[in-house]
Amino acid sequence: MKDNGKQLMNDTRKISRGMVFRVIGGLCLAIFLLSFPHIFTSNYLRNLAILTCMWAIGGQAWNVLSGYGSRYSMGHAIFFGLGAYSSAVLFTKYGISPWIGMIIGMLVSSSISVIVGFPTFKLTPAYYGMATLGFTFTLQAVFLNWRWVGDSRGVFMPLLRKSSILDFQFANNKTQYYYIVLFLLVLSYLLVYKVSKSKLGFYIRAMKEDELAAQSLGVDVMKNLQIVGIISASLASVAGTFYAQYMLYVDPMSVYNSITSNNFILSATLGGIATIAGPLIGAIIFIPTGELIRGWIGGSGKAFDQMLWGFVIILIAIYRPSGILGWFKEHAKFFSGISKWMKEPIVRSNHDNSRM
Amino acid sequence: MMLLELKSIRVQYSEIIALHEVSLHINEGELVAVIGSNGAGKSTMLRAICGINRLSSGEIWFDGKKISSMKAFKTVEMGISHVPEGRRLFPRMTVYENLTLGAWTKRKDTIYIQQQIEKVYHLFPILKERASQKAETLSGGQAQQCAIGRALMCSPRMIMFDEPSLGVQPNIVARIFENIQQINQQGITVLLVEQNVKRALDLADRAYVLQTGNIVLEGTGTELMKSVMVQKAYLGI
Repeated sequence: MKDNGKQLMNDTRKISRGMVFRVIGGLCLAIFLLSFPHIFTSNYLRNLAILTCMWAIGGQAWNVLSGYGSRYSMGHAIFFGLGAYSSAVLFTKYGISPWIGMIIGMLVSSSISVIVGFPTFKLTPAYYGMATLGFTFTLQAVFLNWRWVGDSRGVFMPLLRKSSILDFQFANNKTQYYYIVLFLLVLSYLLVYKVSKSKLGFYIRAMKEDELAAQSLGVDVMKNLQIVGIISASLASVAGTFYAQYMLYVDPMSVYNSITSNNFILSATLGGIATIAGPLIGAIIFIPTGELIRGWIGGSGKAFDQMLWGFVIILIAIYRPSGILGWFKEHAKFFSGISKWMKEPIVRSNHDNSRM
Repeated sequence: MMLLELKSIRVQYSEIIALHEVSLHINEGELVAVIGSNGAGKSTMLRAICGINRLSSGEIWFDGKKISSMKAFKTVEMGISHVPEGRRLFPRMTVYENLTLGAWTKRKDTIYIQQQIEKVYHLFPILKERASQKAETLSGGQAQQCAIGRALMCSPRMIMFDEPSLGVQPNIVARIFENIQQINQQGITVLLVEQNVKRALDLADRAYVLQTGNIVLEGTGTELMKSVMVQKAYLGI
């Protein structure tokens, strides 16, 4: 590992074409994302961008446990819902700032993840999926009948009619919401990137390859799964809190729902599981398309987009389990010419002179 | 000195009993073979020792400590290393990464890992050539060497081989057994489970015969080789 690190350090001393492109491309992307709400002034497009970012955070949350890790969760709606309810209930009942509610939501989701994890992480991946799916509907039933959190009526958040960052409410337009969700998105993706490059990520990868072998080498499977579960649940909970503050309304049927979990699964699987950019790419494709289809068919064909996405999941599972980014990787030969050209250094540092 | 002792252990897969009442012991520095046909319970026994399978009764002692209720990651810390049946490498990770994972118990000590990897490369030079290659591209013999190397990474006191000759081409098998002997000569206790009875008995100081979950015979390698039962059942003489 140390050697690899040294090699990497040597590589960074050279400035290659790829790095120049990456820096320029990154800057362009950053400028585009930051100026998005000023370029597109229609609230409909802003709404689409916000929803896309929100589901992309959730997709990344799912990706941590089920893409990098080895347990296919079908119930990430649990943590999404807990995040949404935590901040909403605390704000309406006690006037606690949703930002604190977000942190409390993360803690609640993490502890539920640990409690659920102890019996269910022992199951094989498919049964784990069923268990979490079942647990989603258990929570739905609990929240439907729990008077303190507003039972089946849900929680309506008071409209303040003024913008306040502390209260997480913005009147008139959606720009502030966009910047907040973008900030959360970048933060969560950086976190997952760090985790995937860490030793934890390395062990998780090994456990996904062959859990029994990892176990017999002394890797503590349960502990590592629990840590990953906590990270995953916290991220989903953040997305949930944002959802509650953005919609200003939470009810059990809309959050503790398999559609919520499916949105996570779809954005990650469509883009490419176990990749950093995958969930974002998946969300960029499927959230706006879903909205368009819903607007286009509307009325009686309400659930058509869901049917279509079910069909898409089947197609991905059969023909391209690695998603869109996986397609790029599989056709690496085609792109290798480009990447070779990109890697060529344009400026050499003193360190390389000895080799030349 | 007795390093490992199984005191009449019993392992069940729900209703089905895989090991009835197995007792055996291994002294420090010995090379002990356990032979038996398919379904005799050999792999179950190894997995029970390293803590993957739970016991329904009996005890396992290692180095004066009871390990029968320990989790798998604890037994590795105690110094028991396992080369599982069919190698069980991590196919889409490189050889280097596979080896690094073997040193999980000493994961904080990067210098140690580096030294240990050099030792493994010294024992199996081919692994150095293939270091950055994905494990799924290795041949049967190379994969077996990689698995053995991985098991050596945690500098174990005892190493358990589960059918190391399985899926390895015949002219490499001899070399694998030589490697096992080398490892034993370095002072590491070896527990070898094999279906290749002749080679295993040639190599072993002592051996046990396991049949449908029971130890039916015990003795030195040469003794067992001469036993009528072994000759009839396993050597086909």
